[in-house]
Amino acid sequence: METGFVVLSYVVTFGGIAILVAAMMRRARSMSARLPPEDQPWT
Amino acid sequence: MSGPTSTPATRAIGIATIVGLIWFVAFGLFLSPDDAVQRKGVRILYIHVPSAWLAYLAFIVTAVSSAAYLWKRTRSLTWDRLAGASAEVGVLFMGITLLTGSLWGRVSWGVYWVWDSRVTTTAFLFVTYLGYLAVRGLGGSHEQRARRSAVVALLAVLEIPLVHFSVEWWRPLHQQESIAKGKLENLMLFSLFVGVIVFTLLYVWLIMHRQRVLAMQDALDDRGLEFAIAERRQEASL
Repeated sequence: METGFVVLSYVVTFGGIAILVAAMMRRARSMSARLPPEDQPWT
Repeated sequence: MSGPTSTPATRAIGIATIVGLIWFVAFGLFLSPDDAVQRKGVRILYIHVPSAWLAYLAFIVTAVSSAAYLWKRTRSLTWDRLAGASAEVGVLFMGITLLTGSLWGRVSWGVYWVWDSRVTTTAFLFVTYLGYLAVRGLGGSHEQRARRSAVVALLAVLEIPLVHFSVEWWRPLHQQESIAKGKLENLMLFSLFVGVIVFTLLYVWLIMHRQRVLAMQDALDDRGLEFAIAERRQEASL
């Protein structure tokens, strides 16, 4: 039973981070396509 | 790893973070031994403690960036976007802190939640920063958003000492500082240390990308406004 809680805590953590990163990347791609390069000075 | 907000620096940090996370999971789940008292439950602390540290760090960066925005000499929307990006990442990790703390509580105390001072003040801090993000989402110009949210951030950060020292001031059910009291040793302490380093790298990677996404969002808002004004002028001239 303890193992289940331990694994769940790692799944929740890395799942949450993965969802945030995926959403952020999707949003970045969609906005980047609508903006000229001068509005993306890091490129 | 590669995307429109990537640079060689973010790619290097991203690769280091992934390698570190693999190492962290190997130590956290397999290589470190069980604790004599907490048994396997100690493995949850390798995530819980670094998450809490990262949330504190993120909220302090939000406050410092907000102060930099409010100070006239350094006023720039870059500070505001850094504050917003840091707060978003902080809220994620504060949420992880509460969830992993709840699972650890179930293993160690037999319950998911207790209204003791540390748990309650942490939940209050989480809700406060959700409020901060809500304030950022209110209407107005970028400058209005920046000024309004900077004031909220400077007030919200005052809660961090309250959360941190709650275990000393009110002696709750939540355990006191494990590291400072020397309760963790050898591989356990090392696993926790790896977690702190790797989560900090992850934080740096996340806010670098996130503040660029916010910069693009602001640029799109400005361009949308310029387009709307030009359209109105065209209508008026007809």
